[in-house]
Order: sequence, then structure tokens, then C-alpha cells
Amino acid sequence: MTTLKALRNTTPRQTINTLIVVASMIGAIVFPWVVDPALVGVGFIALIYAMRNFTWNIAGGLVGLLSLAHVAGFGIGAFTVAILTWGHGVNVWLAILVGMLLSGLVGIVVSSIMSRFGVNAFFFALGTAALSLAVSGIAASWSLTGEVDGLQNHTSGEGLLHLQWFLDPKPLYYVALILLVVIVCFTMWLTSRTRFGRSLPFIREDPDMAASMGIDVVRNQALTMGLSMALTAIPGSLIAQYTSFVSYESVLTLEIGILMMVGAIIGGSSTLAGPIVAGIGIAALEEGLRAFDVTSSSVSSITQIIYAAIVILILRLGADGIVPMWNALLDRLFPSREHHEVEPELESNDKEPAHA
Amino acid sequence: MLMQILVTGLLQGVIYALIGLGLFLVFNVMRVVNFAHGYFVLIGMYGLLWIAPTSLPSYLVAAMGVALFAATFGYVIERWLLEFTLHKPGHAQLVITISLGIAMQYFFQIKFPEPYQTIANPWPFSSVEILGVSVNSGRLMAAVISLALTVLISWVVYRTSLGQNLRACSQSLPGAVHVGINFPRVYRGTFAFGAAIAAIAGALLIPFQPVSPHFGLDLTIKAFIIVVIGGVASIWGTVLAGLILGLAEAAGSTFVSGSLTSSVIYLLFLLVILVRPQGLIVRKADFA
Repeated sequence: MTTLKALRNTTPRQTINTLIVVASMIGAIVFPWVVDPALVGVGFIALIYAMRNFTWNIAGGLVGLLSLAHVAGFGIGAFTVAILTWGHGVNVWLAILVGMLLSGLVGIVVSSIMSRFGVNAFFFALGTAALSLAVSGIAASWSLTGEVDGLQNHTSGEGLLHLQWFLDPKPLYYVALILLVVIVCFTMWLTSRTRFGRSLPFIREDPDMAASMGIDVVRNQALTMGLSMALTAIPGSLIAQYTSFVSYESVLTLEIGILMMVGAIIGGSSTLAGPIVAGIGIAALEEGLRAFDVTSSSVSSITQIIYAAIVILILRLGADGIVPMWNALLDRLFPSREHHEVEPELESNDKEPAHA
Repeated sequence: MLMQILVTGLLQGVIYALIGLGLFLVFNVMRVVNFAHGYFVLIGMYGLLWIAPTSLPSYLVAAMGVALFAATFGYVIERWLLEFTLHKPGHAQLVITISLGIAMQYFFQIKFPEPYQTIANPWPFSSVEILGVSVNSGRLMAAVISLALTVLISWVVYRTSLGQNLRACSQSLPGAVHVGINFPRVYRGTFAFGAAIAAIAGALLIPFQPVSPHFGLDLTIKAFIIVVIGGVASIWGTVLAGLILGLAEAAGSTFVSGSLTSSVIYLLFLLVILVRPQGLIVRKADFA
């Protein structure tokens, strides 16, 4: 609906945002060829951050489920690839699918149980945090997941079928880019064209009203949570293939889960573009700090602090996040002739890589 | 072995109870879900690590100092970051406290890159035998002081007019306003007090508990476990829940690995949230 309306009468803001999306898409495609090879890896990490923020936001932003269980999905994605592909020689794409299924199942079960017991938002966050910590503890003490030492990739297959390239990070970068675009387009289609997708913001704003209108709130929440967590497994699998090493400390700490949430909120969790912009922003920030000759462990610490400070500031000022602020700025700079009472927040899906 | 579990579990449990008590007060009086509480404990631990007291008097003064600092810090946080979120819908408060905790965690990470440090034992004796179990003096004194503080806090809450104001705000905010209680002041005081208690617990822990920045999150979750299990009825529920947590941990870690023990505790906690969430939100009995 929104897209149809956008086609019919375009506001200056929509024109500008469309231009930005197109420009950043082109930028993302040529990025690996114009920068230093070392920066391609940074671009890949940026895409992973963007992807996991975005997939978190499907549950967190669209339906308002403040979940800290997503890091379990991220870890499941990584560990499934590690166990099935590295350990048992299963094809990596199949392993990714298995990871998605498992993670999605966890999401559906968690959400169903939480709804069944009528848990409120704080308990949802607390309970999902406890779940993630429990999963992390199990991974740290189970021989299957390599206990505290983690699992190492010793496979030698190369190419798209094995999702592994030893010298050149470019193919993996493009795989991540394509997957991100597919996920974003799928979500856009879901939220604008399906009854299920359109019910989600309604559920977020007023679950009781939604239920009275005949929407199955519990089922839709559970499905969204499942979908969101299943998609979160993808960046987990990709990062496992990229680093060739998985341990509970690298993919299953609650801090990662918190970062997904904070990232989506900084970008603007009511928009589709927000989480992506924030994910790319933090990767660029990390790279920028590295230029200042800071030791690598401090770099991530400093970026986390900056990240936390920004989100506190945004909430303190009562703002919605970077992308809604940007949209408001555009609206003020270029007031459109017709007054729009409805604010469609689905227009841009910004995908520019780290412009480090 | 049973004695070992009992003694270490109870001694640890008393400290947990003290940590949980700070969160209990903040939650019960203000309805603030403070995800940064465990990090206030880290202020106490890292504060003492930074001061590095060498004698008992200097240790005690330093502990007072960090408590005072934490109280000031808590006051400022409440005043500038939390007050505007009170009695408003939305998740701002939750996200703000989580982010604050994360910022503190990484601040400590940068400031103290060497993990698992402790300070020299400030107590003039090294270890004692209790029921055939040898106990480190730091652990023993931490438990004794925690117990004393717990009793003192419950006395303040239940027997003084200050505590009366606190309980009034907890029971009915409109009622408290009606009888002329300056509730923003009570809130700020409560939050500062909760932070100070947490910092003191940290100061008590540091002589025998090596500190690492990720403890903050663990302690936050543990404090929540205590408050949820203890329920809102009274302070003693929280204290009891602290002791149970300490015992459960001690028992678990003698049989299986530490991380598996915490997994089981977290899963049990999840179960409690599902089955008895009214322990925290809906108040069955009044905090009186």
C-alpha cells in the first residue's frame, strides 16, 4: 500500500531517500573494487552488523518484542555450521538451513511460551536474557560445541558450494550483500503486501485492539519471533565461515544480543533502514578508531561505549533514532505541498558499505 | 562435603542477598527495572582495586569512599537519565539501564585491561575453621558485614520514618503524594542508596573474588533472580532467595562445571518468570 502511494505522489523526501538507496546500492556493489583489499573484510563485518540488527528489528521493531534471545539464534547459526559442516562434512548451505530452522523453532517456542503465560515486556527481556545465558553456558560446557576452546574449521573446499574462499574476501562480501538485499526485500514485501505483515505494527501499538479485530496476536507474534530468529541465524553462519572459528565467547555472549537491540534502536527501530544504517555506522566507527592507533581490544570497547552513549542520548532527547531524525530534517528542509497526515516509514532501505 | 557446600553457599548467599536488596528497593519503590545494578557492584570492586588499600583502616575508608561515590553516581543517573522515563510507557528505561551497564563494562575493560585481579587481604587474620571447613577471612568478614548491613537496612525500612516514606511510595504513589511525601526526592534517595549498597557489596567481594568486567551482567541477572524468586512481599523474601542462590551455586559447582551450573540456574529462573511473574510485577502482598 505504501509503495503504491509513494509511486503516485512522491514527496521530496522520498525522492531524496530513493536516490540515497540507489547510490548506496551502487556504492555497495563497487565498494570491494575501489578500496584497499583489507577494507573488504570491514565491509563484510559491516554487512553482518547490518544484517543482524535488521533481523533483530523484525521482532523488536515491527512487533515490539524486546528480545535478548536473538543472540542464541546467532550462536545457533554459527554452531550449526561448525558442527555439521566442519565436523561432519555436511554441505554448508544445508547447515545454514538447519541452523535457521533450529533458531526459528527456538523463537516460536519462546514467544509461544511467553504469550501463554502472559509475560510483560520487562519479563520478556529478562526471560530471553536468561535463556541466552543458559544457552551460552551449555555451549561452554558441552563437548559437541567444543566447550571453552570452541571449534576450528579445517575443511579445504573452496567456492560458492562450500561458501569458503581462502585468499579473497570479495565473494563472501557479495554473498552477504545479496542475502541482506534478499532479506530486506522479503521483509518489505511481507510488511506491505501480506495481511500477516500488515498486522504486525498494529499488534505492536495495541495488542488488545488487534485481537478484537480478528488478528491472532499470539500466533502472529510467535511467527514473527520465529522468522526473526531464523534470519538472525544467517549472519551467525556467515561470520563462522568468515572467521573459521566459533566459540561461545565469540558468538554467544549476551553483549552481542544487547548490541543488536541497541543498534536497531539507534538507527530507528520503526524504520527498515535504521538498523542497517546503524550497523554500517558502527563498523565504520570501529575502522575509524583503528586509524587513531588504538589497540584492537580497546577499539571495540570504545565503540561499544560510544554506541551505548548514543542510544542513551537518543532516548534522553526523546528522539526515535537516526533515520526518523533524518526524515524529519528532510521534511523541514523541503516541505511538500500536500500535507501528509500519515507518515509512511517504509521508504528507504539504505545499504551503503563502510565509507571508512 | 555437605558442610563445605553449606558453609560456602551460605556465606556467598548473604552477599548475594545484600546485592539483591539494593535492586529490591529500587524495583519496589520506583518500579525501575535497573539492568545496571550489577555494574554498581563493579564500581565497588574496581574502585577498591584502583585505590589498593594496604591496611584495614584504609580498606574501610576506601569502602566508604566508593559507596559515597556510587551513591552520587546513582543520584546523577536517576536525576538525568531515569526520572523522565518514570510513569511513562515504553521501554526507554530498560534500554537506558542496559546501555549504561554496557558502557560501564567497557569502560572498566579499557581502564583495567588485566583481568581477574584482587586486592591484598585487608583483614588481620588469614583463615578460620567453621564446622570443619576452612574459610577465607575475606569471605567470612564479607558475609558478617553483609548480614549486619541487611539487618540495618531492614531496620531503616521497617522502623524509621524514612523507611515509612519509602514504603508509602511503594504501596501507593497517589497516596504518598496525598500525604505530602516528596516522592521525587524519595526516588532519588532510593536509587542512590541502592547503588551505594551494591558498591559496598563489591568492596566486600574484592579481597577474595577476582574481578572481571563481564561480572556486571552476571551479577545483574543474579540480582534479578533473587528479586523475582524472593517476591515483593518483604525484604526477608529477598534475603532468603539470596541464600538459596548461594547454596544452589555451591551445590551445583561441586558436582558439575561452573558454566553448566549457571545454565541450570538461568533455566530455573526462566521457569520462575513464566510460572510466577507476579513475584515482581503484580503485588500480592504489600511491601509492609
